[in-house]
Amino acid sequence: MTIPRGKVTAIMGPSGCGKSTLLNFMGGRLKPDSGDIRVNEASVPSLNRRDLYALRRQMGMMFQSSALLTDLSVFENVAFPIREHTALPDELVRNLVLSKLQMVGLRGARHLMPAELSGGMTRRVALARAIALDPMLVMYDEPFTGLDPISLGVIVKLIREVNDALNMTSVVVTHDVAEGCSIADYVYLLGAGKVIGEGSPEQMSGTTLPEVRQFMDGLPDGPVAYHYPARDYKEDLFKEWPDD
Amino acid sequence: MTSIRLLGRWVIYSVQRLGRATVFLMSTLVGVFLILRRFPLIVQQVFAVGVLTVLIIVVSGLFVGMVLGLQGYNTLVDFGAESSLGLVVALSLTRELGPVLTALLFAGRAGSALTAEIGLMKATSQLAGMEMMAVDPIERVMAPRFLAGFIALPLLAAMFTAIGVLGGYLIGVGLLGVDSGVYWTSMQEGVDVYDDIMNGVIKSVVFGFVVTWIAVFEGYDAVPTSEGVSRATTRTVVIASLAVLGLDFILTSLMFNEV
Amino acid sequence: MSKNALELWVGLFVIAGLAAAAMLALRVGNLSTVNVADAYKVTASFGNVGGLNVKAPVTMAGVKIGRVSNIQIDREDYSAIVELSIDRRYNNLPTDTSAAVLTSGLLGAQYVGLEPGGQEAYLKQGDRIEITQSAVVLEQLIGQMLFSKAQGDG
Repeated sequence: MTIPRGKVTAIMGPSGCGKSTLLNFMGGRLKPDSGDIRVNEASVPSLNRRDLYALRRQMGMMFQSSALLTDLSVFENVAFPIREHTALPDELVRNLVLSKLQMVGLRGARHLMPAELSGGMTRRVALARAIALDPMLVMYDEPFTGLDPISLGVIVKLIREVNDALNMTSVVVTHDVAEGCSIADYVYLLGAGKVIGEGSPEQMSGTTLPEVRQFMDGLPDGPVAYHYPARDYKEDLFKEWPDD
Repeated sequence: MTSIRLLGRWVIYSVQRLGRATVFLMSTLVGVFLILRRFPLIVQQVFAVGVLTVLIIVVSGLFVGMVLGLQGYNTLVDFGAESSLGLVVALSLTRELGPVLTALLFAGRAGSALTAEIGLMKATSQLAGMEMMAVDPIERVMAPRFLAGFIALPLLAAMFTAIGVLGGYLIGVGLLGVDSGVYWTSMQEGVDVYDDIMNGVIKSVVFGFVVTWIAVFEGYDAVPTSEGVSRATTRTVVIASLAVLGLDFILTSLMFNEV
Repeated sequence: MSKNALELWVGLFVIAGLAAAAMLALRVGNLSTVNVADAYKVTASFGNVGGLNVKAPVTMAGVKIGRVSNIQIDREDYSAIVELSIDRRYNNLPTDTSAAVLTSGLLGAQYVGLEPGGQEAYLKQGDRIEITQSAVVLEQLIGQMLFSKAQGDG
């Protein structure tokens, strides 16, 4: 898999196929059993701690649960990576944070605590925090899950805008076909730990591969079976107690 | 056969956890050195684990002191030795009750809160989020909490003991008519600054280290679900309390067994 | 809570803790009386020290001036060698001072009582008190009394 610089790449696939694991590999939080991950020519699994942390400063990640620090206000959450990694004076930190919050439209909500935010606002704060240090790579883990249509639209628009405005590389992991395709320049489709299809969104919609079709069209049965593997139903019913 | 296997599984599990806890402690101690530069973080945690625990410590200390005064008087008066009331109260508190009860209350009040807080941070992937922001959660989250607990517990134990001695005074002198001067002089005659008070302080320092270690580790090692966090919190209180009582026995036999 | 208020509370907390520790050291403990670190040591040998313990008080005219710092057996004459740590403020004890193992009350704790002599020279670090009086062991006393009574009757 190659993720092109400056583009939005969507990684799609059914739940449990290893999408989030892939992001964890890229961030160096997990090490793969075999294979290699290269970010900017550096092999992530073989980096030592110091280099890994240095690399992570150039990455932003937005978690599915947003992972905002619950004891800090919105402003402090966005300021957190800036304060941790730079020794900028407060005034400058303030300007930086406000510009990021302005981008996501939450400059007015800066004094709120994470518990007071709606789901959509939480995501937007998490997005502002992910781009606080102007990273070269931003990873989004399921950014569209559990949002109302308005918030969804806002997030889709933001990911695209942020990518183009700050000229960075975005990786979106999602199982939402429509949003994934609408936002991405390039799509990878994963199934059971393997890449089962790739191409631009248009190519993916037109493909005839059964695995890809099942996912794109949302069919309940197909190469990914409806039934969890089990023995024959009749045999199971007539089996004597106690079971197993 | 099954029970032996269960025992084996339990032993392996315990040893693994102990190993993880030790590795965790080492990285936390490294983190403590790194975090010393960031004083405000420590102050914030001392507030959370120390200041917020003062009330329960003061109230418990007062009542324990009053009970000691009453109970000690009733026992001593039979031997005509009520003049030693101050000594009995002060020795019980400085050597045993002050450090031990403070550590137990601390485990229940501050330790459980620490575990729950860290466990929830883990469950809501705040710790993972920090890692991805290139911030080491052990240094940023664990180390200040660990250090704060370590600082706070001896101070709390000193407060507990002092308030307890006053509680004993209140009952013994105020209510039961022991002479005020006798109460204090019997104490000063019998309590040794080095052997009794310093050993009490050493105990509370050891307890502070162990209780905070357990609390922070349990949070860090919690299964990141609501059930996992609640179990980790329970485990903190149970393991920390048992550890305090067990260590107290060991320390007491090391300290006061000479002669 | 604002940062200032938080820092104030923590400051108060630390002060309260240290104040409690200071109260323990000064009011409950006896830091203000005899300081063992600033003491000189003399020895005295007794035939029998009874129930004397290390850390028992050493008094003169009923005033505590030091404490017993060590008790051991002399390998040659099997007497008990008692080491006394005496506060430097009382460095004018005559060399012929006598020491006795006494009991406070009939059944109370045992302590070492010093009785000053009349010599011009003073005891120094490492000196030995020559005139000593052993502990009165109650059982022996009673035994002796019964024995002499039995003899008298016989």
